[in-house]
Amino acid sequence: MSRLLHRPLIALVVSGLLGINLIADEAPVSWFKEVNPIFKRSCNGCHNPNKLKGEVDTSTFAGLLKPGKHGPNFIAGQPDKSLLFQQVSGKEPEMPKEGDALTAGEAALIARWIQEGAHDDTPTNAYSTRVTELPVYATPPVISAMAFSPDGRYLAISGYHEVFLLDATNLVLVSRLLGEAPRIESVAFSPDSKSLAVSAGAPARFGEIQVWDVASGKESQAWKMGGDSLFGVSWSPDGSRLAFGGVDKSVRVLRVADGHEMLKFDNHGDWVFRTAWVAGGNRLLSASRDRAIKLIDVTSGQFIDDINKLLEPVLSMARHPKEEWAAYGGAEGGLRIYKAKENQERTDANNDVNQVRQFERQPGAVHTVAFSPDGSLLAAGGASAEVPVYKTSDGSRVATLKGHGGAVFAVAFSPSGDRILTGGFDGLVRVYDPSNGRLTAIFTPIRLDPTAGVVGK
Amino acid sequence: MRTRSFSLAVALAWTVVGGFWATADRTPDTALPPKPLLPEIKSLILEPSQLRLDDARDARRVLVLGQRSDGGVVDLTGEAQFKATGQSLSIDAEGYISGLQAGDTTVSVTADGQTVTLPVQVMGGALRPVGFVRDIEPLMGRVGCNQGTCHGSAKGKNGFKLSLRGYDPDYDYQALVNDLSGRRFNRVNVDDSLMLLKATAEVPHEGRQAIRPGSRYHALLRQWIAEGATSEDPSARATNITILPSKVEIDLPGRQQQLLVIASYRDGTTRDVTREAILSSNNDEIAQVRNGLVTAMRRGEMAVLVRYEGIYASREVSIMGDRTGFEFAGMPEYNFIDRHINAKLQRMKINPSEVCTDAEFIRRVSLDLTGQPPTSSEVRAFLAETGESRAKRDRLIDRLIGSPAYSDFWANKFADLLQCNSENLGRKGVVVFRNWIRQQLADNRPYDQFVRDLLLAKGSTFESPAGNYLRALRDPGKMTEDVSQTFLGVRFNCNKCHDHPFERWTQTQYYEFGAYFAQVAFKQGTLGRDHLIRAGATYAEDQVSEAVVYQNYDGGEMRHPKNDKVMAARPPYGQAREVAAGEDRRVALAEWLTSRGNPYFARSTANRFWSYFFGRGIIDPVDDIRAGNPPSNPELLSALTEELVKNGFDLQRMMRSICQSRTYQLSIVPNQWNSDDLINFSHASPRRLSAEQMLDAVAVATGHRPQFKDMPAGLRAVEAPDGMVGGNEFLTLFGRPKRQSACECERSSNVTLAHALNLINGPTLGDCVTSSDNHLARLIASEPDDRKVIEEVYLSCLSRPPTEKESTGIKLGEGAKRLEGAQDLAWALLNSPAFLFNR
Repeated sequence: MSRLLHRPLIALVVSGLLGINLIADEAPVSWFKEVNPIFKRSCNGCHNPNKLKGEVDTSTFAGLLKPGKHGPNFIAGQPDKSLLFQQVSGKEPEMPKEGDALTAGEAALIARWIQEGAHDDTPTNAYSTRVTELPVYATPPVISAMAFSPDGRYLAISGYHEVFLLDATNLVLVSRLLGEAPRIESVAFSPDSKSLAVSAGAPARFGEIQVWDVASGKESQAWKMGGDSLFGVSWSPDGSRLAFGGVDKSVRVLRVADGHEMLKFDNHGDWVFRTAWVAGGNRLLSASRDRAIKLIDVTSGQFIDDINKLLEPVLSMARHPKEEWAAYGGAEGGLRIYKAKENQERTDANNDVNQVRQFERQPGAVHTVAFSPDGSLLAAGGASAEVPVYKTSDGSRVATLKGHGGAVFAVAFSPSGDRILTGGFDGLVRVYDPSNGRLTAIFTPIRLDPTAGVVGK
Repeated sequence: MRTRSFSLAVALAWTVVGGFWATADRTPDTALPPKPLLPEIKSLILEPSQLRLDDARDARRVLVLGQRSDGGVVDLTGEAQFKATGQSLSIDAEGYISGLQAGDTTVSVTADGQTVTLPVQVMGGALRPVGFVRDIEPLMGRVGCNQGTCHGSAKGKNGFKLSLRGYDPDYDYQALVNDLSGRRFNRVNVDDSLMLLKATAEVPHEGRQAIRPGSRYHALLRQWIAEGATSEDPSARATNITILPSKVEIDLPGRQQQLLVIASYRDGTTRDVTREAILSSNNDEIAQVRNGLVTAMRRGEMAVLVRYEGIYASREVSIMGDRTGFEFAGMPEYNFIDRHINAKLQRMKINPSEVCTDAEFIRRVSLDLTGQPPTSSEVRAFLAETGESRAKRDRLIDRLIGSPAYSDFWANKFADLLQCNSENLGRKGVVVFRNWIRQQLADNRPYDQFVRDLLLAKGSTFESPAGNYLRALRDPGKMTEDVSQTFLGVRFNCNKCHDHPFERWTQTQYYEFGAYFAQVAFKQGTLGRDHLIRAGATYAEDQVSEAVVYQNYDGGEMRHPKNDKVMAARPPYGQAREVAAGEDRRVALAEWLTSRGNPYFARSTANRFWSYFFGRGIIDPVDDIRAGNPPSNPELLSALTEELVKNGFDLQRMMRSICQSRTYQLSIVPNQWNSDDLINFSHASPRRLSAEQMLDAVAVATGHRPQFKDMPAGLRAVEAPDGMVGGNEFLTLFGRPKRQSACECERSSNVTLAHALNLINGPTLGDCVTSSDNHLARLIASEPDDRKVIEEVYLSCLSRPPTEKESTGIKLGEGAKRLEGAQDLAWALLNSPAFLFNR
């Protein structure tokens, strides 16, 4: 950029000679390398696909092509008739609304780019985060998600850009499921254990749902959607549909076969972190930072009721394996079990009729909850480095899993119920005996290479 | 007729008033004044005079000060050249010096043609890991992540919430690292960390580019993630900050002074945190602050407030301006107050005004001590009294202090502070409470004992009226906030929800302090439960409000909202006795609060009472004492405080000292050298009469007293027991408080058009002036000499005789017109600033 300061651009703007290309002998202005960085610094905060202030998206060239509320963003060759230039130039520029105005040099650069025809030179893969080689890890990645296959054969653990598929018996890595999204938010095996669904994303860029064929380790489906991560993927009991939540406050249901969006539910007021199917696949629960666990009729897409009392942002949720119940963990340390049904009988005196059980308050946010396969135990991981395991029947604590090097983000019971695995901030998987809380093993899902340094594109 | 004579007076009144307020309301001028020429520099001084650099990240600056021949200094830091000797140091464009290799070396510093040597010791210390508390929190504070309009707001921003200005490092660590299962950082690929992508605006960020890619902050944040994004014990926070230079006296507007902020830590290390500290000016008109650089705008005094990681400090700055020709002419020192005022005036090159006249004094001191002006006969007698004026005045002060009118007036003032209102206390409650307050003042009860009674009262609020104070506050939260504001002068409202953003008070301290009140409880009493309204009952006879007995019981606890933990009772500063088992917690609280050693109790009391006599505290506002609100004359405040403590919290004695001082007796007429002084008490300042003073003064002037609803006839406004008393819109309009707040600001003393219109057209003044039973009617009937009538009207309304010109120039008229003329005159005088203001 400093090279630009030497150009007589300020004079260009001031003298109003915008119609004449004075600097024809210089290289044309690059959208991607020169104009885009200015927008990143000063415009994209409000004019991006997630915000779309004034229906304008300056974050990509494709976004710029779409006219905003006040008309086209630019007219190639005519900077003085282009909103893009008008808004940021002049004595008291309209934009940016807050913060420093663009420098005269920056405004002039935009003008010249339009003048030269507003050409797009965005590289083909500019907005892809796909990596071509398997990451090499010098340090274990944070574990945000973990799941056993129902048949007990596999264990899926989140990595960076990938999911590690392990043999659940001997904990040996079987395959690495390398996808486009860098950040894995949730993993869920299909009821028949043949497929693994992954909700993921590149934060503040896009969301992605992946479906993997477990046997071959191949990606069978991947759908990119929205502007941010997707959370809490869950399979319908018949294995034909996937439900998940998102930063865009929506709950969606996709048909696995072709990715057809069967439902988009927009009743939440904040990010949606978890979904769970109830009533034989006819109803769906969605848990959100808006404090609600909402009950949705899947066929009609209608909101039925909030099943819970709205006490705190709901960060995590798990369905009871037998009862029509859901346990949730909250941002303020709440840990409760609710019946997954209408809340209509509530009265002023009792406005929390669905609550089945309230557990002791956790010392911080509860990031993950998991029932044992028979539903008799409930484990909760969160900000504290300890994971308590409770009896579902009376709320008493049966074990405390200790030794974590930071917060816990994922907890999974083995299908036989004899092991409970935890993972989180420190990237290590710990194996415990749930009956007494004894630590039996610690491992990393992938072998580390301390010489690897930083991975990436 | 009325309108004509009145319009003249009102024009005069509001021109003067308008002019007065316009001075205080000047809008800030943002253009910096031109830089004055450098004076002759005798030598250079470096502050600090040597540097020690602990590790490779330790970067420091020095201030380069030029010694002037008159003893003052001029800052040359900005223009100084720094040159390292040898290869072991690097010096950046801003003048930050950092070490490259261990050993002793020097930097030569050149400014204004002179060169001095700075010794620098580079310690070869190992680079410590980047600390979340020590390094990352200050960085986020500086770039503004955690400010109230961004992620520090109560709801956060876009799903990411930090504690306001980083007061809670544990919370912030959870938010940044653990929230959303580690979404915001990426150890594996550091540059793919959301917190970096957002802060540098690589992905859309509404807060735009808070951190420049490749900048020092970017490198620090990146390094912290690469080292594992680990947490750090909050004890790693800085424990203290020092502001350099230690004294800032700037000669001329346009001159600049760089400040440095040095933080110290528990492990004994220090750091230059000037770039991360938040520096602000408490008065942009006098001096502005940008990036630690103070620019003098005009003559005056101001303070630079420095905030760094929950530590607050301030540096007072005085700007002398051009005082050519000034020669100090101090006032005679009547007592210790004048000594301290003189010293400050001399330093700031201000000359005090002349002493006020006897007539001005009797009006001023009567209003200040008894809430009402003297009657015409009192003025006559005082003016006629022979002997030295100062002795005469002292005798008058002695007569007024402790008089029944004194007790009524100060009872009214305390009833405001103690929130005596019928909405909370019932109609009988306010009467018994106000009477109890009045008795304490009439008895000159030592203030510490008075406050102890208020805090410790129990039993029936009818039989032990002091209990009405806590009764009026009702809940432990309001008790926490109002007790601290009323008796300590500090505000605890902010730290209910988060640590105080402008002071060191923490949220934990709020709930620890609140625990002292957690077991205060109230229940229905048996007295006066019947609710009867007898037709025609006067207020004092009306005994129908419910009696409330209150007492303590076990079980009430204060819980911290963050973790629901029961808080132990503990004072926010100093040491209090442990509460014994089964003991009323308030006993330990009252002992601590009213002890002689409590630095806020006596000091805030002395300051508050000072403000009642000058319209402004030495610290102002009086109930917002904090580092950022320094006293204009700390020596005076200390002396007043000492005097108060030494004399066993004798309020009357303190008021006597204040009234007897020459400072209190200065004229409002300024001189060439003090006309711009608003804070050093070099002249008296006109103060608008309070609502009750105004109404009572109208009654004194006209001899007609307005009647309050449901109150005995002849009751003065200051005697009304209830902040809610209705039936007199005049009091409400002129700012009588409802008594529901501990803030002095609940009472307004401003001047608006509504006030002017009410005085012109409102019934209150009109009824008093035209009433057939007032002084004027009697006077006109009995006094044939117009000049004597005019003199009486002047003495009654303005507490002074008319001037010769006034006396001869005013024509009352003939026959029936004579009364109208006298009424017109009174009307005009009552609308003049000389009446509306205590001057």
